[in-house]
Formats: sequence, C-alpha cells, structure tokens
Amino acid sequence: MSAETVDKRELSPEARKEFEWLCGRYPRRRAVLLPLLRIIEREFGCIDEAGMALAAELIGISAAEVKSVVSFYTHYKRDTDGKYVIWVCNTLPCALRGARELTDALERKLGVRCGQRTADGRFSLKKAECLASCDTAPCMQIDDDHYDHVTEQQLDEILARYE
Amino acid sequence: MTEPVKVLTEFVHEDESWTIDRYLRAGGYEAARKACTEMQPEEIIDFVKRSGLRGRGGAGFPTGLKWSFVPKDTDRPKFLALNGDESEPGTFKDRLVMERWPHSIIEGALIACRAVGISTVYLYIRGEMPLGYRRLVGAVKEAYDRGFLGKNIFGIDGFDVDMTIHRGAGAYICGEETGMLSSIEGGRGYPKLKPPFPAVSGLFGMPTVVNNVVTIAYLPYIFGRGIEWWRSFGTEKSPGLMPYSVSGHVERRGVYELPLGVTLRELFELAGGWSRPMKAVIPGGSSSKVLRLPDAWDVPMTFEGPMEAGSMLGSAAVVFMDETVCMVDALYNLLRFYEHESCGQCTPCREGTGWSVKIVRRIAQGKGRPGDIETLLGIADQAIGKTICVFAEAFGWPIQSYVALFRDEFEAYIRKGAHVAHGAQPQAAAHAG
Amino acid sequence: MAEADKVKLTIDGVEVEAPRGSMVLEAALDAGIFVPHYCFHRALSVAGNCRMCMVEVWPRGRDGKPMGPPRKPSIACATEVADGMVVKTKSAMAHEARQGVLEFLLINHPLDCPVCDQAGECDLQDFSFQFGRGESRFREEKAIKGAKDFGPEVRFYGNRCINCTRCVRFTQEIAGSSDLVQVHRGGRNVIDLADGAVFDHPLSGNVVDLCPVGALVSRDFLHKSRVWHLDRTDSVCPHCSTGCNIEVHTQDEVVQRIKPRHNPHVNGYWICDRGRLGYHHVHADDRLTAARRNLGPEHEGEVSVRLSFQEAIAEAGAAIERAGERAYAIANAWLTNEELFALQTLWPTDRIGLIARPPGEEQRFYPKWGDAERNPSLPRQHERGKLYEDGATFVIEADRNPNRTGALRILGEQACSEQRLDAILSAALAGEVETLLVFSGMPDYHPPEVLTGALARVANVIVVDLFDGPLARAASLVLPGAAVFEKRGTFTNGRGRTQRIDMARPTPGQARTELEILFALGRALGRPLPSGSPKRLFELLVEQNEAFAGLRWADTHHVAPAWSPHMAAARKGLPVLASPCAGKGGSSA
Repeated sequence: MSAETVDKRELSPEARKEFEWLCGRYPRRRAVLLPLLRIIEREFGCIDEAGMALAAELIGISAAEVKSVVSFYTHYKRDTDGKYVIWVCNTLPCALRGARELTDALERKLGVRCGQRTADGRFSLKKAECLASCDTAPCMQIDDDHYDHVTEQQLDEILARYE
Repeated sequence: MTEPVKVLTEFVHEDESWTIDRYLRAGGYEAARKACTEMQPEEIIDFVKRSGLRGRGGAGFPTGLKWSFVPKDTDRPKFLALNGDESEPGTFKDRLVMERWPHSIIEGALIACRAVGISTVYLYIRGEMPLGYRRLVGAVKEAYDRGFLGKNIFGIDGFDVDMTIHRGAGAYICGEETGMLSSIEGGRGYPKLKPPFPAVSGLFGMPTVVNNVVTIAYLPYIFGRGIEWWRSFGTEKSPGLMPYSVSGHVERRGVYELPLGVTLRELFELAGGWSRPMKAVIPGGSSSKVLRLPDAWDVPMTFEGPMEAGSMLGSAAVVFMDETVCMVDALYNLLRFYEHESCGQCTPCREGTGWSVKIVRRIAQGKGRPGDIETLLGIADQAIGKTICVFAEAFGWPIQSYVALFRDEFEAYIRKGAHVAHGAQPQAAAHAG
Repeated sequence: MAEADKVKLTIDGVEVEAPRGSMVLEAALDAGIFVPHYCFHRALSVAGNCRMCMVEVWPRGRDGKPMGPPRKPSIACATEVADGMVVKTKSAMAHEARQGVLEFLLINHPLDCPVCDQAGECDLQDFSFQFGRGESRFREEKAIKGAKDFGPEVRFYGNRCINCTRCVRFTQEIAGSSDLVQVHRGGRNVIDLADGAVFDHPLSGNVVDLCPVGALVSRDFLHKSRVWHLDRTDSVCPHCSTGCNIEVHTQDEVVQRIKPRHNPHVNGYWICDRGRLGYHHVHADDRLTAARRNLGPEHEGEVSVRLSFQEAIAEAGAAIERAGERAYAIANAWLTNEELFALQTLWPTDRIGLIARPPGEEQRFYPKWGDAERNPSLPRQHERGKLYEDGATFVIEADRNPNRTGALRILGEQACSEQRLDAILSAALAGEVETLLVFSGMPDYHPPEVLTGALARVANVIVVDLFDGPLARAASLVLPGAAVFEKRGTFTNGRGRTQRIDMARPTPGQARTELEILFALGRALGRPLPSGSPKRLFELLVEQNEAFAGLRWADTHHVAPAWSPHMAAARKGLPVLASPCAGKGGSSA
C-alpha cells in the first residue's frame, strides 16, 4: 500500500539469480528476507522505501513487515546514511583502550558528531556496539572494511580511500 | 603456570590459514570421516557426552545432552543452527575461528549432523563481520567442491549435508539462540518463548540443534585425539580447552587458547600484565558480574570457578580494568550498550534498560540523587528472571555487581558529582552525545 | 471431553480442571480467577511479552507432590497446565512481579488519563489501581513517540502504547493484511505502517477494541464522551447478513459508538468498520420525525400537511380498506421477524413484495502467518482466530441486509422474489394498484427508478421510512419509522441463526417502530394483532412457523461480556467464556 510515487525497482539479472538460488536454500521464502536485503543494499547502494517495496514483493509479505525487519537491525545502510558508513566501536573494552580519542578525532576530521552525516553526504559516523575486535581496539569499520589499532595519524590516509 | 595449548589457534596466524588446502594439510576432515564412517549416530552422541564437552557460547550446556533431546524417530526435517553472532562485549574468539580456521566448523558440523540425523545447516554470522562472512562462504564453497558438503559425504550413502551462511545485520539479541532462529526465519530477532525448546521446536518449528561455532569447531579434535586427550585438560566438570578472549588493560590482548581452570592471574600474566594496579575484571563477557581485584586473581576459569566467586564463565571473555577506571562510567558504557540492544519485546527489559541508563547517565553527569542506587538495584531486581530470554540478567547483573562491589564509588560520585576513581579519566560518560 | 484430555491443577487453592494443552491463564480465567494481562488474547497467538500475567507455578515433582516454590515467576499465558500443578496468582512473588511490570509500563506513559478516551475502560488504569504500587520511582525525562492518524478510523498515540502487539497480531492473524507492525527496537519500539500507507482495512476498528490502553483510539469517538456516561444495549449489526453481535453505546439517547459483542458462533470478537460506523444514519439531518400527507402539485405553496400518528394511521387504514384487493405491500429485509410476522398476519402474502439493499462484495478474511509462527508448538496457535470451517477469521456477507432469511421464512420465497416485486411494480404502472404500503427505512438505500416511477402511478402511496428521501417524496402519506437500534425483536442471519436486537434509544418525535405502525393499522382495519409485544409475537411465530420451531426468546440473546471480556468478567465477578469457536462457528447456525 505504499505511495504510488515510489519508483518501481528491479534486481539485475545476476542479483535475481542469487535471490533465486537463496530461495532454494531455505524451506520458507520469508527466511530469504535478510539476505535479500543485503542484495538490495548492494544493488541500489542503500535500502530505501522502493527497496523495501521490492523486498516485500519478492518475498510476498507486506511492505510494513519489511520495514519492521529493516528497522530492527542497525547494520543495513539506509537512504538517510552517507555513501560510506563509519562504525567506530565504543563499547567498554574499546572504551578502555582509546575509543574515545579515536571517536573525537573522527568527529573533528569529519566535522560531524556521532550519528550524523557529513555535509557532502560522503560519510555517516556511527557508534558501533562492540565489533568483536576488543583485542585490536581502537577499531572501526568503513562499510565492509575493518581497521584495527587505528590512530589519529592514519585517519587522513584511510578516509582518502573512500571517494 | 598453565601453558597455552594451541588447537583451534595453532595455524590461525599463517597466511591462507582459512583455505581448505591448509586445513587438509593439518589433517582436516579425517576425524569427521572416521567418526561418520565408523560410528553409529548414537555412539557419536555418547562419545560427545563422555567427553564432557560443554557449550563455548556462554551458557555451558553439555553438548551431547543437548543433541540427545532432539527426537530420533521423526520424519520432520531437523536443522543445525550454528551461532556465530558473537556480540557479547569482550568476546572475539568466534571471529578468529570463523575468519581464520573456518573448516574446523564445517568439519565439526558434519559430526553433529551425522549424530543427530541433520542434513541442513545454517551458520549465522554477525552482520559486522564481513570478512568472516566472505571466508565462511569461501570455505563452504571449497567444502562442496571437495565433497565435504553436498551428497553422500565420505561415501556414505544418504549422508547429505547442506550448509548456508546466513549473515546478520546488527542486533546483539540475535546471539540469543532463539533470537537467532527468528532472525534466520526472516523476522525481527525476537527471542521465542521456551518451552518449547529448539530441540523440539526450533527453526521453522522443526527440531533444531543450536551450537556455538567454537563448540562445534572443537569436535574434530575431540574425535581425532580422543576423550582422554580432551579430558587431560581442565577439570572433571569442566574438561577441555577454551579460547579465552583477553582485553582491556593488558599489554598483549588477544585470544589465548588454554585449558579450562586457568586462573585470572595466569591469563593476566600471559597477556603481559599491565603497568598500573588493577581494580576489576569481567570474567565472562560484559553480562557476567564484575569481580574485584585483587580478590579474584586466583579464580579458576572453569564453569564453576567464577560462579563460586559470584559471576560466571560465560563466553570466557576476560576484560581487565585498572585503577583509573571509573566504575560509574564503566557501568554507564555497558548500560548504554544494553539499552541500544534490547529487542524491546518484554516490558521489564524494554523499559528497564532505558530507565537504568538514564539514571547512570545522570549520575555520570554529576546530577546523581540520593536513592538512585536503590532505584537501580530495584530495576535490576524487577527485571531479572521476568523476561522471555536472559537479556534482563545481562543488564541486571552488571548493575547489581558494579553497585555491590563499588558502592562507595557510586555514593561518592553522587555526593560530589564527579569521578573519584584514582586518576580516573572520563571514559564514556563525557561522551554521552 | 474424555478424562484423558483433561488435567487437574490447583489455582489459588481451588482445584480446577482444564483441557490438556491449554494455558494456566485460560484455566484461571475459565475458573473465574482473574489474572491481569495485556498481550494475551484468546483469538490471537500467544506473545508472552507484557509479562503482566506472571504467577507462581509449582510443578509436580516426581513424587507426585508439588515441588517447592520456584526460583522465579512464570507467565500464565504461556505455561501449559499439567496434572498436579499448583498455581498461586496472589502470592507475594506474583504480586511483586506484577507491581514491577506496572511500574515499568508507566515510566514512559504520559499519564494523560484526563484527556484520554480510554479512561474508564483502560486496563493500564484499572490494573494500576488494582495491582500497582501507587507511586513511581521514575524521575527522568519520558520518551516521546508522538501521535498520528493510522487511517480513517484509527488514531495512534505512541506515548500511551505498551507494545503488547495485540494490534500487530490482529492485522496478521485475523485481518490477514499485516498492515500494522512494530518498527525500531528496544525502548524505541513503536507501532507503525509502511511508509505512506493508510490503515483503511475493512476491519481496522477492531484494533481500537483490542488495544488494552489508550494508544489506538477511534477517530469517530474521539473526545465525544466519557465511557462511564455510556449506556450499553445489546444488539445485532444490520449492515450485512453475518449478523455480528454488537453493543450500542448511547449517552442521553444519542448513539455514541458501536462495539462488538463476543459471539463465538457468529463474529468472534470482531465487527467490520461499516458496522462500527454504520450508526450515523440514526441521527441524520433528513431523519423523518413527523407523519404527513403530501399534497399534489395543485396545492401551490404548501407541499404537505402534518398529521398526528393517529390521523395518519386512520388515513392509511381507510386507503387500504378502500383498495380491497388492489392494496399491495412492499416489505424490506431490514424488518424484524416480529414485524414481518405482523405484516404476514395482516396482509395476504401473495400481495407482498420485498425490497432490499443490493448485494455487495463478499469479503472473507484469513490469517497470514509470517513470523507469527514464532511459537508454533504452543497449542492451537493457528486455530485461535479461526471462526469458519474454511479457516476464515471473519466474513462480511454479500447480502447487505440483516434479515433476508427471516423474510424468506415468514413471507415465503415467492413474496421475496424479484419476480414478485416486478409483478407488483408492473401492476402499479398499469394502474392496477390503488394503495401501496411501502416499508423502506434502510440506510444507504437508493430506490431504483422503476420503483419511484411506479409509485407515481399509484393513487395512495403510504411510505414508512427513516429519511425524507425519494420514496417519502413520492408518497401520498408518510409515516416516520424506526432505526434498528430503536427496536426490539429478532433477525435471522444468513446462516439461519435468530438473534435478538434491543432498543438502545427511543424513536424520535412521532416516529414509531414498524411493529407499532402495523399494530395500529391492524386495529384501524378491524383485524387487531394478537399482541404488540415483540416477545409474544415471536412466541406465536415459533408456534406457527416451522422454520422457527423450538426457538425460545431467551435463546436469541447471546449474553457475552463482549468487547473486553476479561475485564468485564472481572468487574462483574462472572466466569469468562470458554475459548472462542475453534471450528464450531462454521457449522452452527
């Protein structure tokens, strides 16, 4: 029942094939929702209203149900996010070993606070809840790339990799 | 001094340790071949029971016993769901094994499937572990290519196993076994009511074994080297090895694979110690109750040891804290985590996490009030044991233990409106955002 | 039920028998022991999330005796009954657990009872009063979740929501649309729709009844009244032949709202929005309240003469008598059985025809199980909302009239046929009808032109109607009739179940029920009816008409503590009804 103005989306043939393959891996199509959302995230750069409508159609559930699932998980890239999302871990083991300094440095470099997006839309900066990398704190992830023992000096060079 | 025993972690620092060739060179898939071809399913379960293997995910449930709960004579499909949603703060052992020694998990899964009569395996990996995801997907493909997954494995007619890597998307609660099942089913990661337990009605309502990935990864070694070898480590009730995740204030943080029963002092020293006096230690991941140092130095890290000291082994994630750590800040940091991660299904957890974090934030901002401590303890008390899953315990136990062991620090903070820990630096609170 | 299908347990010292596989909460409610609860509903799957129904459960040990006190309380809604189990619903453990839950539920609640429509029928208010601590230790800022209109009938106040998910489960398991969902996580959890969606499902209003607090409220009823001012009358919805059991809520004789009344054989716990909102015609501006004689075009200026009821009846009687065999009557499918019986007594059925509202689309609703399959092995998770044999949870019948079945049984098939109506209208057009008595009075009924056209050719057209519409204008004599909610009597629904309606308000002005009009006409015609009492006429109908044989007046009224059965039962100290239907509904008639 989404608004009519939303563009209709379609998966690329390869993505469509991957989706069909996934459907064969689970006894119920609904179980393919999470992996499908990853495909949509990859195909369209983020999960937005049209992406959710596409997922609803492909899985055969309501758009509301897709929204319910998408909003439960924090790791999907949404249309409100920057092109790249920086996840900086701030949970206790990291907090004990310099997470705050790293977070401060990122905030200074990007000119935004945690939870915000840079003005050029390139980065969103977010606090992560334990990246299971407590031995390499302070750590962060930029999309699917993980960075260990990050120092302020490295930041310029790391951020420059993301155009 | 207990020495590390590198089994799962023997080759993890090598390049390409995650490939099937490296795994086969180390004798990989032989134990499973032997177990599956030479033993009857009941014998396999009995073997695991006798080995005394207990879950490495946090609850420490006896693995063989868990398998035996699955109905035998049923024509309903059964599933093996492997829990790689490692998100308990302080824990990173699963990540290491999934990223760098993934075939041990696949091999272990074959043994479990043979024992319980399962032909479909889902491995749930945290969304925040893209590398682990890629490695596991690669390992599964390799295993299919070499015939370790698919049809008639080890030449056994009808021994078919399919394995799918299911990637999470950022939700700590999916580490709770039934929350994970809900997530695999394509829903919000809501834990399910128990009973029925997954062994009877789990994934898609079918009998399901849920095991931690590291528990499963140990199986090939137990079968390959024998029960005696396994039981030569640890204690009678807590036999075997454990990859301890050691973090916080130590020189060399990392995964230390050691027998169960190693003391916290030994772990600390193995990890190179620390230059300042120590104050506290979390023995089993952030949900376990914090212990005071030096009191807890000699606590043996078995399933019973931390329990007798008032905490638990949990995921064997040991976080050391030195004297500069303000316990109000530390608790605030953790409660913020729990508030963020509560699924919100049950009233006490949904409301209790938010309420407690507001109180501790206020204390940390210097606006504590008399009575705050009692209210915090009341919140924990009102939540623990009253929710669908143990998340209430996970946030309630830190409240209870931080306040109980460091009450003077909380009271002084409320009185003075500032840190009192020796040389404490604001860790998290000032960063409330 | 066989002995083996029952278990015996003790609840609060009382030995209770319960079906094997049922839950402690159901067993307690059935035994008249009230355990407070929010998320549990008998027609929905068990969610177990509100934690309000925590009780102390002592399972039976191996020695056959109850084990000692448990370490922690259990939720009664998801604890299966077992032989020898001991349950304490009022122990200190249960009481403290409940107090804790209530304190948690209220910390972020706005406590805006003075402006909340739910006040007075709010489980949060009531349970806080009955089981709460009376004070909160919460001193922080409350979370803000805002309010919005979900659809034409439903408004959502996020701050009041306790996330029990009854509404979510309803749209999934009963409506089958999955319109409402929970979004976000943890303390930010909130009920929502898809982006840009409108909650305009035909059953949407039921979530207002289901909501145990003031989070989902009726836009139609918004700030109209306070519930403690309402008088409640049991009735039956006239808008289709399902015959949903309803309560008509009035204040100072004005209908304020319609609520469903639980009937496991008809409508379960639900009604559709058409029925829920289908009362506004009662207070329509064009409602007729006075009898009149319409004057022909030759009377310039004046169009009609107002008559007293007696004068109108006298004129009508005279016109009918004068016409002799050239007098015809047109009944409708909204008349009660008693009215139809009265008409049949006064009038030869071969000169009676029937009008009715045209059929609409039949709408059947089925559950859509998505992740509601979360706890599939809890008993009857898939059966709980089932009302019909085919698994349907609710049906809006194509026949948009309440009593076509009654008309068929009383007037006979021929009188109710299209052919008969056509024949009467053809005769009228041919000038062969001198007097025509037309009962209309159906809201949203648009008489076809063939009918109004035929009336123009009849000398005496006596119209009984609710509204000053085309029929009343085409009449020579107009008698104001009564709306369904102003009547007493019975309807027979599409599946043959005869059900009682009761008078929720008096007829306005000179309006009379059709039964009163027929009774008066009978006298005027010198053939008085045996009684003017619906009950007595019903008894005569039962004696004379085989289709009604064996029915008793008392049986036509299904007594149900309806829209909030558990609370109603608690307040009245009555046992709550056994669980709904589970397959019975489809076959019983």
